[in-house]
Amino acid sequence: MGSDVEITTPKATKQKSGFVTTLTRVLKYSGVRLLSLFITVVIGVYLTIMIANMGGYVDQMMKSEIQERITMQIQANPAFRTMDPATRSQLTQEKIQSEIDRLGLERPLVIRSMGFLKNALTLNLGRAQLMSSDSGSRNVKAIILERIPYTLLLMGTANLILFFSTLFLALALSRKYGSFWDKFVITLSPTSSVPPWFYGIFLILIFAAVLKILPFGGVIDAPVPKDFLGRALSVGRHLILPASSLILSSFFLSIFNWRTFFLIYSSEDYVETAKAKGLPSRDIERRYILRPTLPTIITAFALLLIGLWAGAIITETVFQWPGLGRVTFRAINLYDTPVIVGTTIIYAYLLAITVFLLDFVYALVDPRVKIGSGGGPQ
Amino acid sequence: MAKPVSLQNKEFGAGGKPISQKGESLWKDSMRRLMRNRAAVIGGSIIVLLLLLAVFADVIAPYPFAEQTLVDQNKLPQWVLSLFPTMEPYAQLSPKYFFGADYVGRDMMSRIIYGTRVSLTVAFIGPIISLIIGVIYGSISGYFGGRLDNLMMRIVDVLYAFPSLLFIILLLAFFRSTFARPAPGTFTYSVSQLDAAMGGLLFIFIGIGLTAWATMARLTRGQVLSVREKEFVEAARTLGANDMRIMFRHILPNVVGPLVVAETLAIPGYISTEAFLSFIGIGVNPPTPSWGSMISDGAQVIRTYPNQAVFPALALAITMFAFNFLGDGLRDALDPRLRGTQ
Repeated sequence: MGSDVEITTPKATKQKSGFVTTLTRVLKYSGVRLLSLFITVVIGVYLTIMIANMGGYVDQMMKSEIQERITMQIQANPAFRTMDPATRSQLTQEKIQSEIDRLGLERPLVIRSMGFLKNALTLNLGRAQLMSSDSGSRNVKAIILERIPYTLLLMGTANLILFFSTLFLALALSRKYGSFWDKFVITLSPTSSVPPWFYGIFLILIFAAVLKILPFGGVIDAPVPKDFLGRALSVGRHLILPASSLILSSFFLSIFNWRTFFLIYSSEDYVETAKAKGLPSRDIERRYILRPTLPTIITAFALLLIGLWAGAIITETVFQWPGLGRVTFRAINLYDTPVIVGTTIIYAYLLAITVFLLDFVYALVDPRVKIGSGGGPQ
Repeated sequence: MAKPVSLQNKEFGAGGKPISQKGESLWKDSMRRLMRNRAAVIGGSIIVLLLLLAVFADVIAPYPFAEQTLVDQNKLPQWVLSLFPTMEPYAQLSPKYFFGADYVGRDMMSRIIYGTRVSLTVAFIGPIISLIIGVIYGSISGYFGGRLDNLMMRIVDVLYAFPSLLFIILLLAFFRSTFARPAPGTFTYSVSQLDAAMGGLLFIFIGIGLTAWATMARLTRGQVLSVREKEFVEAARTLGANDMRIMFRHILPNVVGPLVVAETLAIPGYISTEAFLSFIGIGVNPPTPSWGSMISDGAQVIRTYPNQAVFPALALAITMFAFNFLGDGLRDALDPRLRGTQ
C-alpha cells in the first residue's frame, strides 16, 4: 500500500476500506490465534496439575501424613494422658476429619483440579506445602520471585554472549567458506553433544581446584563485601565458571549452524546478481543476506529469551547456584505441587505470549508475510 | 568360483575405487562410505569396546559394584594423586583401586564398568521405543492425512509446547511414588517388581518413550508425505494392495534411512537424559551403578576428591562422543547429499 503515491479520490476511499479490512483481518487472526494458544496453555497446565498431583496419589500421601501427625500430637500432649482410650481415639478421628475437611481432601480430585486450574491460570499460585523461601515465606510467588534474578543473571549473561558472539562469528565465517577457521569450527562442533555441566566439572577442576583463581560455586563470597562495587565484583567472579560452561557447551555447534544457515542464503541467485553488479560485500551482506534471514534470527532470539526462564537444573546444582532450576528440582523431589505448577504456568504463559508476538514481528520485518491471509505464518 | 574372487580382489585393490560393472546395493555402498570416515570408525570401535565391557562386566570388573569396604573410604592410587596434586595433604593412598574408591569404599573402576550396562541399554532401547511409537504414529498421520492428520499433529504440538525435561521428571516422580509400596498380587505390584529387577530402568524407558516419540512422529510424517504421491505407491494401489501393505511394504522402506540416522543422532540425548535423571536421584535405583548417580555423588565432594566426579564424567562424555561420531558418519554414508549439515 505504501507504493500508492498518486492517490485519486476514489482510490483513497478504496484504500480506507482496505485499511478496515486489514484491521478486521488482523483482529480476527489475533482472536483465533490467542484462543488456540490459550487452549494449548490450559491443556498443558492441566496435565501438569494432574501429573504433579500424581493422579490423586498426593492426596493419599497427605491424608496418611495428617493421620500420623495428629495421632502423634495427641499422644504427646499431657492434657490427654488421663483420657480413656476410647474417647481419645474418637477425638483423634474427629481432629483428623476436621483437618481433611479443612484441606478439602474429601472432594474428588477431578473437581478440585478445576479450582487448581483456575487459580493457576489467574496466577493465584497459593502457598507451598513444604518449601519456603530464604526469607521464610511459604508463598509460591515469593519462592519463585526470589530465585528469578539469579537464574536471569546466569542464563542471561551466558545466552546473550553466546547468541551475539556466535552470530557475528558465523557471519564472518560464512564469508570465508572452506578456510582454516571454517574447518576448525566444523571439527569442533561435536563438542556440543555433551551437556554443559560436563564442562562445568572440568572448569571447576582447572580453575578452582588446581589454579585456585576462581571460586568453586555459590553466588557471592562468604563475608559479603560491604560496598556495591565489591559485591558486584564478587558476583561477577562467581558467574564466570557457570556462564562459561553454558557457553562452551553450545558454542561451536551454534556457530556451525548459523554459518550453514548464512551459506544457504548467500548462494541465492539474487546474491549472485548483486555480486555480478559489483556491489561491495558489506552491502551484499546487509541488504541481501541478512534481511531475508532476519525472521529466523528473531525467532532464535525469542526462543532464547524464553529459555532464560527455565534455568539449568544440573549446571545450577554443580555450581550451587540458587536459581529456578534448583527450585524446580527440589519441588519435584518433595512433591510440592503448588511450586511445580507455579514454575510451569509461568513458563507456559511466557512461551504462549512469545509465540503470539512473533507472528506480528514477522509481519513487521518481512513484507512477504501477511497476517491472517491464508498463507500466513503458522 | 576362482575367477570372480580374483576379480573382486582387484576391484577394491587400488585406492578403494570400485570399477565394478555390477550395481552395488544401497547398503553395501553406504557401508563402504562409512568405513572411509575415520571419526565414524573410531566412534564405532569405541561402542563395540563398551559393548564388550558391558557384556563381560562380571569378568572384567575387579570388585562387585556394591561391595563396600568402609576402611577404604575415598582412598586413591598414586597416579590419581599426581594427576590432582591438591589432594596431597589429606589423601590416603591405596593401590587396590585403579580410579580410587568412593565415599563408602566402593571401587570406582568396577562401578564405571558396570555403569556401561545402564548407559548402553538406554542407548539401544531408547531409540527402539521411540522409533516404534513415532513411526507408527507418524506414518498413520502422514498417510491418511486430512482431519485425522490435523488432530494427531495438534497432539504432538501440545507435547512439544511442554519442556520435555520437566515432563519426564514429572512422569518419573509420578511412577516412582505410585509404584512405591503396592499390595502384592496387583498389577502395580508386578510392574514395580519388574522395574526393581531392571534396577529402575523400566520407568526410564517408559519416560523416554513417552517424551521422545513426538520428534520421530513429526519426522516420519514429513517423510511419508514426501513419498505418498510417488508413482510406485500409485502402482501398488492399482495392483490392489491395501493401506497396511502400502504403508509398511512400500512407503516405510523408502523413508527408513533418515529415521535411523535421526535416531542414531538422538542417542547421546537419551544417554544424557538417563544420566540427568540419575543425577537428580529419580533414575536407576541405588546401588545399581549409573554414571549419572556417580557424577552426582562426586559433585558433592568435588572440592576434596575431584577424581570421584571426573572419571564417570569422562566415561559418559566418551560414550556420547562415540555415538555422535557414528551418527554423523551414518548420515553422511546413507545420504551423501546431506554431508556437512546438521
